[in-house]
Amino acid sequence: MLAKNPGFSVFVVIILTVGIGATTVMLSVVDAIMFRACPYRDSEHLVCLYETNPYVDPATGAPKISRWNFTSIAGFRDWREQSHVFERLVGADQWNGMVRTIDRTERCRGHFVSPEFFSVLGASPILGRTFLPEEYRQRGRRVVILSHDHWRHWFASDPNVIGETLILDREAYTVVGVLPEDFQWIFQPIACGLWMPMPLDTTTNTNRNNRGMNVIGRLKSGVSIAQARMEMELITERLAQAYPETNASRGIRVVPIDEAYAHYTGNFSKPQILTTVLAVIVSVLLIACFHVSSLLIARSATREREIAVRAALGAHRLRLIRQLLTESILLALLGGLFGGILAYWGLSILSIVKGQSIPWYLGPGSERLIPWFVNIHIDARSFFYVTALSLLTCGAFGLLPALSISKTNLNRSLSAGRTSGYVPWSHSLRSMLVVLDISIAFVLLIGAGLMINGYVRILRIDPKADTENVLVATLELQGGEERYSTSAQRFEFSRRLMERIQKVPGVQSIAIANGTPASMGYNWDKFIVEGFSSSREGVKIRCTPISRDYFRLLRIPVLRGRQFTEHDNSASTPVAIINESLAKRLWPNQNPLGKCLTHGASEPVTREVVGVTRDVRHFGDYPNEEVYIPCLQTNGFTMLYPDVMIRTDARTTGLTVAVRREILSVDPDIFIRQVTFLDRQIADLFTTERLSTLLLGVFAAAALVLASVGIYGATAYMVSRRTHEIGVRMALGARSGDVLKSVLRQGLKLTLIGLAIGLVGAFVATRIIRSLLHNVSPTDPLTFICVSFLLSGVALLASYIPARRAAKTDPMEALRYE
Amino acid sequence: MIKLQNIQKRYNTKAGFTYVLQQITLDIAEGEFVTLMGPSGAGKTTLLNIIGMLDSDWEGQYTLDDNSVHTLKPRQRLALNKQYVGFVFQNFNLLDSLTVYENLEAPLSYRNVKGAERASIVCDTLDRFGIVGKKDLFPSQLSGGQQQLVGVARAVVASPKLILADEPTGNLHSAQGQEVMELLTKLNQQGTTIIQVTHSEKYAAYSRRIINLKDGWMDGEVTPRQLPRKDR
Ligand SMILES: Nc1ncnc2c1ncn2[C@@H]1O[C@H](COP(=O)(O)OP(=O)(O)O)[C@@H](O)[C@H]1O
Ligand SMILES: [Mg+2]
Repeated sequence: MLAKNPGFSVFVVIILTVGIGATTVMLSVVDAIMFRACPYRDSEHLVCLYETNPYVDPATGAPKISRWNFTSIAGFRDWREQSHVFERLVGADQWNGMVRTIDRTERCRGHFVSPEFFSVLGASPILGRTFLPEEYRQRGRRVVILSHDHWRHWFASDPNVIGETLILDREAYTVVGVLPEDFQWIFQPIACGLWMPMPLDTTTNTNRNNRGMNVIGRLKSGVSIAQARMEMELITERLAQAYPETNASRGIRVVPIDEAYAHYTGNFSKPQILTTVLAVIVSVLLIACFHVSSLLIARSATREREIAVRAALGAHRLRLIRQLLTESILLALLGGLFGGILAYWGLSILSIVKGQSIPWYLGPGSERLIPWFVNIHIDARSFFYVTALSLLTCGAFGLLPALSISKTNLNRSLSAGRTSGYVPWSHSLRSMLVVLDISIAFVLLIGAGLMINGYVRILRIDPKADTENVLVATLELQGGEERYSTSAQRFEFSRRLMERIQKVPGVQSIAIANGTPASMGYNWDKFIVEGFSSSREGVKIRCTPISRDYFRLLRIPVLRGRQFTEHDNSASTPVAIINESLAKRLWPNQNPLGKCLTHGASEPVTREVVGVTRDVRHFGDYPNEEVYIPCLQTNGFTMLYPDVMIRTDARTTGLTVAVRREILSVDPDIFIRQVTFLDRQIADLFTTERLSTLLLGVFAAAALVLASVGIYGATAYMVSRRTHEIGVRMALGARSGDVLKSVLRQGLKLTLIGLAIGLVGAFVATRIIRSLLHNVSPTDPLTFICVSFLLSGVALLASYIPARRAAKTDPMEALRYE
Repeated sequence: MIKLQNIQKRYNTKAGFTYVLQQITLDIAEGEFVTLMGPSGAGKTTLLNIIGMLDSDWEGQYTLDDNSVHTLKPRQRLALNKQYVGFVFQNFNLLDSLTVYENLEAPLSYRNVKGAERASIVCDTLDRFGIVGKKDLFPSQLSGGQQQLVGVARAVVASPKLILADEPTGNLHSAQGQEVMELLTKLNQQGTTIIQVTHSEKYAAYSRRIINLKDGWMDGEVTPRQLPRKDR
C-alpha cells in the first residue's frame, strides 16, 4: 500500500524527518546546558565549597546573601587540616597573565592547583605527568600542564612538547603534561589554558581577604552531604572566632558539584534565548505532526470506502487495524531514522553558536549562546521522546479510518462513497489542523518579524562617525614596569608605531586613542566644573585621551573652536574638547569655549575647553556626554593599552596582516588583542541579536513553508474530492471565475481563522521575547500588519494553485467519475 | 436553432479508436420537443452532452442559432451553455453538501439573479414540483425519485431556452413521471426547446419527433403516431 502511493509516503517521511531532526538537536542542546551531569568522574561524590556573605543590595537597600564566594588560600589550608569528611579536598586559584610562545604573545587564563587536584577530578594527562610533590614547594621548579586546546593552539599538537619552554609573565616554565581533550574546567566563562602547582606552605598567601580559591571535595564513602555540611559549619564557626576581622560574617555552603555545574552553565549561556528557540522548534514539530496527521486523515478518507468494502466482504476488523497500524508505524520509524541522521549532522552546525575556548579575549562579539565547555552530543532520551511522539501521531491518525468504520454503518459508508467522495468529518478535522498550523506560523513569524525589525533598527543606528575602512588595533604593552616606565618611553613607542604603520601601503592616516566608538567599557573621570551647581563632588564623565588626528580620522565634525594640535603637549596649557551634549548640560546657552574643567584626584589639572564636537553614538548603557583630552597631556599610562585607529583605502586582509607585522616589528612582546575594522566591531556587539534573529527567522520561514504546504494540501485535497461537484456546478452554469473564487474563499476562510487565533497567541508569546527586542514594542503594529499580509498572501497563493486547477476542470471529465 | 452536421465522437481506447457517434446530422428548430431513443450504450447521453456543450471533444459542425459551436473555445462553449441550457442528468448529480433549496438556488446564483428575486423563483419552483416540504433536506436524505424531481426542478429553475433531459423519469413512479412530462410539455408550449432521452414510449409520446440511435448511428426518425398503439 505504501509503495502504491510513494508520493504520499515520501512526503510524510520528509516532514517527520525535519521535525524530529530539528527538535532532537535543540532538545539535546537544552539538555546539555540545563540538565546534564557534570563531566567529572564519580561526580555524585564531589561537592563544591562556597562561602556565603551577607551584603546590602546597593540598589534597593535590601539585605542579601551572596552564595557563590570562593575562599582564601589560608582558609582552604584550614579546611583541609580540620575536616575529616573528605577523602580529599582540592582547590584551584585563578591566574591571569601573558603567555609568550615561539611565535606570539597572548593573554591567557590559568590556575594554580593544590596537590591531587587532577586525581580528584579524574583527569590523567595524555602526555607527560601531573605535578610531583616537591613541585608544590615555594621555590620548586617552574612547571606547567597544558589544556588540550592550548596544546594545539600554541604547539600545534606537537607530541614532543614535554620539556618545551613557555614564557609566563616573562618567566620560563617547563611543560610537563598535556590534559585530555574532554577535561574542562567548567567554573569559568573562558577556557583555562594552563595549570601550575600552588605553593601551599603556610608562610605565603596568608591574606584571608584574598578569596580566589575554588574548592572541591571528594566525600569519603558513607559520608552524606548533610554530615559534610555539619562538620564544615563547625569549622566555619571556629574560623570566624579565630579571624573575626575577615571571617566573622561568613557562612558555608556544601553544594553537589552537579548543582554547581548547572549554576555555571546557566550563567554562561543564554537560557532565555535557548528556551525561546526550543519553544520555536517544538512549534515546528507540532506543525510537522499536524501535517502528517492531515495527510493521514486525507488518505484515510479516500480509503474509508475501500475499507468498508473489505469489511463488507468479511475482512476481520482487527486485521484491518493491524494493516493500517503497520503502515503508520513504518512511516514514523522511517521518519525517526532519517530524523536521527539529520540531527547528527545538524549538531555540527551548532559550533556557530558555541563559545570558543581559543582565543577567548576577543570583544563582546565572541560571546555565544552555548558555553565553550559544554560538549553537545545527541541526547538519546530526547531522540526517543520525539520519535515516540511521531509514532503516536502516525498511529492515532492512521487508525482513524478503521475506527470510523466501526462507528458509521457500512451501508452508509458504501452508499456515501457512491454518491460522492465528500467526507465531511475528515474535511473539518483537516481544516482545524490547517487553522492551527497557520496560527502557529503566525506567532513564529511575528516573533521573527519583531526580531528582524529590532535588528534592522540596530543596523540603521548611525554611529555619527565614519566607521568604514577604519582598522582598529587593540594592543597591550608588556613590561610596563621596565621598558615603558616613563612617559617619554611610552610616547616614543607610539611615535615609532605610527611611523611604521604610516608606511604600510593603503594607510591614509593614524590616530591613537584610549577607547573607540565600539568600546563597551570606557574611561571616566570626575570633573569639577566652575559655575556648575553640583560641582563640589565632581561630575563623572567619560574621558577619552586621543591623539591629534582622532576627529579628522573618524570624520567627526568640530562644531566650535579647534582640534588638538601637536603643540598641545605636556609643556603647554592643558586643554580639552567636549561634545555637544556635555556643552549643553554644563553651560546651557553659553559659549563653552574658554571655560574650565578640573580633574585628577592626586594632582588636579585644570583644562581649558578649546573645542566642541558633534556627539558620537556609543553602544553601552551610559550617557553620551564626553570629554576628550590630548594624549600628549596625559602621563602616557593610558598608552599602555592603546587603540590604534588606521584609516585605509580599502578593506583587505593583506592590510590587517601588514599592520600586525609592523606592530610586532616595533616590539615583538606586544600583545595584539585584535585587529579588526571598526564597523565590524560595532556589528559584533550585536552578535547575540543577529544569531537569535537568524535562528528564529529560519524556523519561522520553515513554519511559513509548512503552513503554506498545509493550506495547499487542504485546498488541493478539497478540490480533488470535489472534482465531480465542480463539474456539476459548471454544467449548471458556474464559470471558471466562480469556481476560482469559491475555492479561494475556502482557503481564505481557514487563513483568517488561523490569523485570528495566531493574533491572540502572538500577544502572549511576544512577551517572552520582549527582552531580546531592541527599540521595538512587542506589539509593534507595523510588524503585525506586515506579517498578516505576508501570511495571507502566501496562503492565498498556496490555495490559488489548486483553485486554478479546479477552475480548469473539464465538466465532461468530472461528470464521468460517476 | 440546433443544426448538427456529421457529428462524430470517438474514444481512444486500447483497441484503437471506438466511435460512439457517427455522422449525426440533425436539425432541431426552436420550440421543438424531441426524444432520443435507443438501447443502452447507443450514445444518447454522449449526444446530449455535445448539444449541451459540456463536451467539446468531437468532430463535425454544430450551429446553435448564430453560433458556430465547433469554432468556439471550451470556455466560450461553456458560456453558451450558461446562456441556453438546463440539464437534467441521468444520475441526478445533485450537490451533496447543499440542501434541496440551495441546489435549486445554484444555477440562479451563477446567472447573477438578485437575492429577493432568486428566493421567489426557487420557492415558486419548489411549489410547482411539490417538494416544498423537502427544501431543507440534503440529497442523501431523499429517495431516488425525490432526487430526480429535484434534478428536474434544478434544470428548469433558471428558465433556460433549451432543456436537455437525460432520462428525467427513469426513477419516478408513473404518476410523478406523468407530472414531470406535463410540466415539460407546458414549458415547451411556452417556447422552450426540449430534448429528452427516454426508454419509455409512453413518455416519448409527449414529444413531436422521436430520433432513434443505435451503436452511434442515427437509426431513423419517427413521430409518436408511428409508435405501436398499445403504448399510448
Ligand atoms: N470515457 C469513455 N471511454 C470509452 N468509451 C466510453 C466512454 N464514455 C462512454 N463510452 C462509451 O460510449 C458509448 C455511449 O455511451 P452513452 O452515451 O453513455 O450511452 P447511452 O446511450 O446509454 O447514454 C458506450 O458504448 C460507452 O461504453
Ligand atoms: Mg445514458
